[in-house]
Amino acid sequence: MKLMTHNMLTSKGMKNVKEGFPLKIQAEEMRNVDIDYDRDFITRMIPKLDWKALVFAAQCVGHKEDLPDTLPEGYENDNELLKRLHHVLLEVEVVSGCLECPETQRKFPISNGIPNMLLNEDEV
Amino acid sequence: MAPKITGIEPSSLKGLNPENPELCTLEATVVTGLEDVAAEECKEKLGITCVQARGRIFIDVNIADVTKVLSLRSIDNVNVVLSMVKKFSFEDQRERSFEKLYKFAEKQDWRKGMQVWKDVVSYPEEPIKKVVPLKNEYCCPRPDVDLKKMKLLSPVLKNLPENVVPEHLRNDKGLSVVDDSSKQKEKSEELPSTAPTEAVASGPKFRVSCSRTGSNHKFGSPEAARQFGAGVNEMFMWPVDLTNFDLEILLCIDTEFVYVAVSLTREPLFKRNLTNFGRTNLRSTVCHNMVRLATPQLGEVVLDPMCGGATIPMEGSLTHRQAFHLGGDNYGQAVKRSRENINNLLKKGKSMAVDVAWWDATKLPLRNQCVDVVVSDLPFGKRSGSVADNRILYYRSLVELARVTKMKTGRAVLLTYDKRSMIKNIKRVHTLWKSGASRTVNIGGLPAVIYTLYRTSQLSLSDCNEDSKVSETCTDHDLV
Repeated sequence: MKLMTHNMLTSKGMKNVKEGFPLKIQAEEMRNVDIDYDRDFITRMIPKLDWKALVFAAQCVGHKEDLPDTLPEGYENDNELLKRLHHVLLEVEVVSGCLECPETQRKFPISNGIPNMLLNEDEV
Repeated sequence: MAPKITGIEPSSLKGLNPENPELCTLEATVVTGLEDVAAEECKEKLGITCVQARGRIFIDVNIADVTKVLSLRSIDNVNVVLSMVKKFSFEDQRERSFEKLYKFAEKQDWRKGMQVWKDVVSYPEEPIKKVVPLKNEYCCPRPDVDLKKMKLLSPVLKNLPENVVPEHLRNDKGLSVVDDSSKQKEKSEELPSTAPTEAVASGPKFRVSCSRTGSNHKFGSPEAARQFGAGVNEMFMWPVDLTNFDLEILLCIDTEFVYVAVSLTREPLFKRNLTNFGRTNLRSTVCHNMVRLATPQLGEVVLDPMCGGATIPMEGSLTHRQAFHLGGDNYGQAVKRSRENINNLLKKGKSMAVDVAWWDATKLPLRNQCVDVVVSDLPFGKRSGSVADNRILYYRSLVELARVTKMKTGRAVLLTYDKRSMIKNIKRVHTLWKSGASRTVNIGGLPAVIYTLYRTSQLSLSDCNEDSKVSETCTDHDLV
């Protein structure tokens, strides 16, 4: 599971959950992959991301230092930041572990890089 | 709809003209219904305008650029066309047609065709060593061998003379079983005998494959292949091998329209991404064409909520790198397969911005409005799912997709065979999804349809725009 995906995942489908976002990551095994760096792609992606959630996720998986707490002005020109962002968003993957709902603490397991977001009948 | 092959004007294809030695005409097959998408890719990547026909596009390209055509992602097979005749004028008498087909082998632009073939397959030597002019009238026909697989419903069965009708169809036609042995002996004395080939056959092993449509021919396709193949065999001394061939020559006959091509793709081009197959995998060329129809822009998120083996997200991430591709399925086996497929491509050094999750498409675990484009191959209700399930599934997923897809700019490209369920449900969610153009596509013989939908500016069914006059769509009982 990439952190790009995590930025969109929520447990809001469960009853009694107001936001369900962001989910807390408890990573057991991680891996890095190689994805070609496309500066324009990252620049265009940034407005769609929830920055706070991304920083939170980065912290969960040990990439805290890579990203500033708030998105700085003029980020389009900061190539170093964009490169680090590219790495954290697309190249860092959680292979196994789980995602935890912030409101109910329900755990969604991640195995083989795939988060299992299926809900049980009583949770819907 | 693209015009049938019989509507093509051969003179419009410059590569067929021997006066253009640097130019050749390639035929690229495309899933019927997506010819214009392939033509668009060709225009975009090669700058060439192609001629479209049903199920294929014809591209006039410099011989040096043929490999560029092979790297296009929307086409299945590529052949180099040697000649094209609009009116072949088949004769009423079988033997005269055979003669024409046999001698037709001499009328092809072999030099050009074999040059292209040799470069593409990297054949180690010059395939044409010497050319022997044809001496016979035609090849000795063997209907007992050639028509073994003819079916009762074949339209040319009624045109065959009685003594030619194959054994297995005689009883059905009410013909008496013929005592073959004596008849064969008589016939072999009358027929022209093929000259014994003194030289040893050498060069590429070849076969001729004929596809024939039309109800007025007096012969079957294997018989036509035999005639043409005999001509080729005698001209070039190439050995014939129907199974382990290096070179496949295609003879296509559609009523009076005939063309000859040499196959350049031993394996179809769509066999590229998958290693783990499910029950209903979509060809990667169709996946590419569907993603192309959705025109993903820079920085967009493309979602496939029922991705199966992730064929669409994978092809998308390889060819449309300007977007992030996300897929998911509710079937554990499928999700596992997706992971295997992606990992296998990553091992080969591919760079793919793609991810897969295990989820329920009717309850997507995604934030509101985080997706820009949806491209999906919905369960047809034949091999996967059922029509009864579709009625509910399509509705619920359309509503859920509307929640996660950006209003106004979002769009969906959805493929299905279950038109009824789709059309009914598109109507039910018309306040969320505006229906665009739809096109019929031939998916494995089924007339499936690709629907294009555009997001309106309404977030959910219970949200009503103030101007909305149709108040019945805004009541809660619609949310099943």
